[in-house]
Amino acid sequence: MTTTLLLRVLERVHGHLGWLTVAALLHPAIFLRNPRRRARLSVSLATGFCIVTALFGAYIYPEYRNRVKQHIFIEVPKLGWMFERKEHLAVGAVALALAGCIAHLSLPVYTEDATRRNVAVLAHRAFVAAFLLAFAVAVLGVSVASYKSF
Amino acid sequence: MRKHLPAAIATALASVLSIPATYAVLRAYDVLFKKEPDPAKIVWSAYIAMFWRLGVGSYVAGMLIPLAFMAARADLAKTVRVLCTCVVVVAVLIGFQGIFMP
Repeated sequence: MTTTLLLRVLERVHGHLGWLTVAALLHPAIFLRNPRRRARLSVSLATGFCIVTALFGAYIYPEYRNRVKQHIFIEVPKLGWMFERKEHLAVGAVALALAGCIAHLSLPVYTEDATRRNVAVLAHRAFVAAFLLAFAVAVLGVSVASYKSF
Repeated sequence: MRKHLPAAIATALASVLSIPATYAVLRAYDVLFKKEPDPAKIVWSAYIAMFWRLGVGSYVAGMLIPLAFMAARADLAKTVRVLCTCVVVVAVLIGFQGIFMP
């Protein structure tokens, strides 16, 4: 069984990485407005942050359910539901960031101009949506974590 | 292989987008049509609904691969146009479900 100290550390790392992810996702969300713009490093890093943060979250989630979730639902059900919202929105943020990353990095593969433009627009839309979802996730996460932790 | 790469990437995009879409639909179905126990009364459960939904989403993504690949091979430009719209639809779907049907 994972120790409480380790869980606390992982939870804090997860939280800090989450806010870094929000900041990292904002960069491609702004840069890729211009479909001709290339930002491979920014896109890769933002998606990498997103995936690593999600993996941290997924690792501590079973212990959160065992040790924290029920207490929050008993004491402040609204906060419990806020955490549930955070989970759902996080799934969307990760998937959309991944889709945006695949789309942006694959742009040179598309030779036809109109198709390449559509893929670039897809990447931009995906990162804007991922940023908005990740921002909501980070705000909800802080709200819950500031009330109760491991 | 190089010839099929654009279609393969469009397929990958369709698969990735189908995961949160499936997730949102499954959760919305649970909220609307199933009676769930009060989370405050559950001490422990081996069933982790989020992971289960992600698993089903991944399964659907896998099922979608041949269909998306055939569509992309038949008309790549149209498939990409549809995917471009799908990004918005998926974002709205998971956002709406996440906020209003937790």
